[in-house]
Amino acid sequence: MMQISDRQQPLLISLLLICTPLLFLGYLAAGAVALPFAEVLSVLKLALLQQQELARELYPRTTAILLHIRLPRAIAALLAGSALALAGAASQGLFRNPLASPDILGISAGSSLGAVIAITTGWSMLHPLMIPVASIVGALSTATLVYLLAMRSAFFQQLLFVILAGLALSSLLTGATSAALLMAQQYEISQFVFWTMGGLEGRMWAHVLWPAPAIVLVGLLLMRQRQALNLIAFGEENAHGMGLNVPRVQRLTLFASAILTALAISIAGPVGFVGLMIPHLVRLLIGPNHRRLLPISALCGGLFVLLADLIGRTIIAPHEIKVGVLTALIGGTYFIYLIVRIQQRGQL
Amino acid sequence: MSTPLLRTEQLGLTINDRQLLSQVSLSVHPGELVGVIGPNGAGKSSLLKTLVGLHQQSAGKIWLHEQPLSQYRAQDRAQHISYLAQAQEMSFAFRVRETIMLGAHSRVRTKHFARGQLDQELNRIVDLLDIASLLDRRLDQLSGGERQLVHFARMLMQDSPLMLLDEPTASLDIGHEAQLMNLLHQQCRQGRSALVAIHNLNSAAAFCDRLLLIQNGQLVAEGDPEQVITQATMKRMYGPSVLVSRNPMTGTTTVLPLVESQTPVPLHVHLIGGAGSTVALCRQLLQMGVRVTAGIGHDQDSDTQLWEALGVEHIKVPTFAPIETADIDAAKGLVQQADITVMTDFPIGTMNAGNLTLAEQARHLWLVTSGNDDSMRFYDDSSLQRFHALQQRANVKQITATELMPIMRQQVASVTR
Repeated sequence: MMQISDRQQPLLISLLLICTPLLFLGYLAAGAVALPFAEVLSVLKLALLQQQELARELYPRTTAILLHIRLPRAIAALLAGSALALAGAASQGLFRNPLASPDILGISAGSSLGAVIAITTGWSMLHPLMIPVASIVGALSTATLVYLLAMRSAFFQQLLFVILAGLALSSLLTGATSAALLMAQQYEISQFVFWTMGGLEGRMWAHVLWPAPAIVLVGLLLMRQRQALNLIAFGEENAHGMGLNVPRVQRLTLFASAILTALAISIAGPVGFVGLMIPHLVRLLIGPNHRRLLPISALCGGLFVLLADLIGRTIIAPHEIKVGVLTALIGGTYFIYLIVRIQQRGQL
Repeated sequence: MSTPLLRTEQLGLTINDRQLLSQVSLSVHPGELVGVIGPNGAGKSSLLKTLVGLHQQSAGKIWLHEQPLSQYRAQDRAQHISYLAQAQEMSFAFRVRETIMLGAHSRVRTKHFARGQLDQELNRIVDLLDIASLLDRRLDQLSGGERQLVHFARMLMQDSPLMLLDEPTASLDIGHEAQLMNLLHQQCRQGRSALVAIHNLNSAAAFCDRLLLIQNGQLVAEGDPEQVITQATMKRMYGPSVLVSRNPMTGTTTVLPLVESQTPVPLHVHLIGGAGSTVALCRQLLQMGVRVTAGIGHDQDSDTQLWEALGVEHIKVPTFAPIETADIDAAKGLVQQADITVMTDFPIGTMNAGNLTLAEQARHLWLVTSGNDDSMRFYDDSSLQRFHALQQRANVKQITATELMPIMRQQVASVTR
């Protein structure tokens, strides 16, 4: 895989833009119950025209499956994938390290602790949104804590300090999670383990609607830092010399990436590998310029999770494979293939 | 004089209780190329970082265009000062064109540019630096020298009147170093100014209009290169092992490292010579640990300057003054003490004929002959006659310039044994 030339880039982007609606429609049509394409399109059209009643009368089964099960789930997949990939791309740029991700700041560990508390206290039985809410509270508290620790270092320059603080906090929270599990019942442990795999089954509008505007808003905020991240790629000192308010950009990017990751986890659980792999893959394709890297990573992240979930839902239907399992399997395999090939070309 | 672009008053910087800079007052005027020199850890980088606002000064004031630096917003400051850090990060392989274009960031943020205007500027800069062929290459495919030129182009793209560069030539070969310094020099002739922290004192002396010498965070000397780079200041900065001289080819001040002398050997050699004929010999003898005295030389002669610089005991007379009997008497003691007196093959005329009289006093005289026709070296017959008389003496050994050092080494070996 080589970086493609400048002339090929519009081609790649148009290809992605064509693939997105096709894959989306394919996702809606395929599944344990296959829905005819024509019906899917008609129901979508009627839904967009605010005529759900009519749709329900004309195609009762398709409408029910589409509007209540597959559409919210598809949107959940797109949102979670985009948020994870965008946060990954931004933190890799911020830390100037292609292996960084918000995970190293302890965000995932914080959300796990939130989830395990919700499960072991029995709060998760009270309302289906309890685990997402608890996980996002855990993730955001961790982000705030890392941020407050990071603010202590003068001029915000010592990124190493931030990483070490994140690592320390991460092991602390993982320890707390294990401690909570020690005292848990067997079924609670199973529930937690399933949650940690990351999955989209049973995602309804209630799961998607409240994080969606936040993901869009924070995502746009992060997109605005594209050029700033390009400057930071040349080192904080040079970026400062070129007229960038470096501490401000660092704070903003760090916190926005953490929030995006937390929101994605609240929707789909800790889906692995998307935040690390997608930006890396996109960078190999189109180069490191964040002006293109950030939006294309977001798009590819969404598509990747959508595709992984489509495969997970259909490959052994009516059973499902959790999306986190598939992203890890597909992503891990492809990534190994990729780095071996690149290393053979002597480019790594 | 014009108003300075940048001016500091009693600038001090303390980080973690370490005083990195104290009481630095300086100014940079339009069109000036100012070099900051000093030993490792003297505070050159800290000074530059403070001037661009990367460090907050703990004392004193910095004015940029007669306004306090702290009052500038980041993007406004960048339109007055650009900064090139010492180490260049290369975490991601950006393309050359993208890299250079990033330099315009602060201008794009605050001004409107017509379509294609920035591209034109970029093309003009890459033509100037002769790197147009690199535009579509990736930074990781370039050599260190090419990469530094790209970063310099990025700096020019920022189009600020003042440029601060922290050791821009530290990792470059001599060709790229000269190219970069020439470009910088050229930019300053066209009205920009630059403040450059620079390790290579010879480059500093050759290219900079003015030098600031920093030691232990303090400005210890300031002025023309000749005023700042002297044997005395260099000895204070870098110890005794450096030699300051004036390059006869370029006329610029030159600083060279010296090989330190070995353990002293019990041999005293007195050198009589001029017109640069003792320079190499003197250095080699000192390196072998021989005690060297010299004279009689003329002030400003390259031999005399070297003797002075190296602290060799010597007798000298003013420029264009003849050697008088009194001078010979003063030098006589040194020659009589010396185990060997070496008289090199230098031209002898009325002004320095006294050296022949001095040579007559030697206990053992080694006469260096040019081999073919020594008469060419003498401006009058009487001097030549005296030279021939010397050659006849019993305590005189005649050797050619090529034989001199091998025989001298044998001599040193025999006394050490």
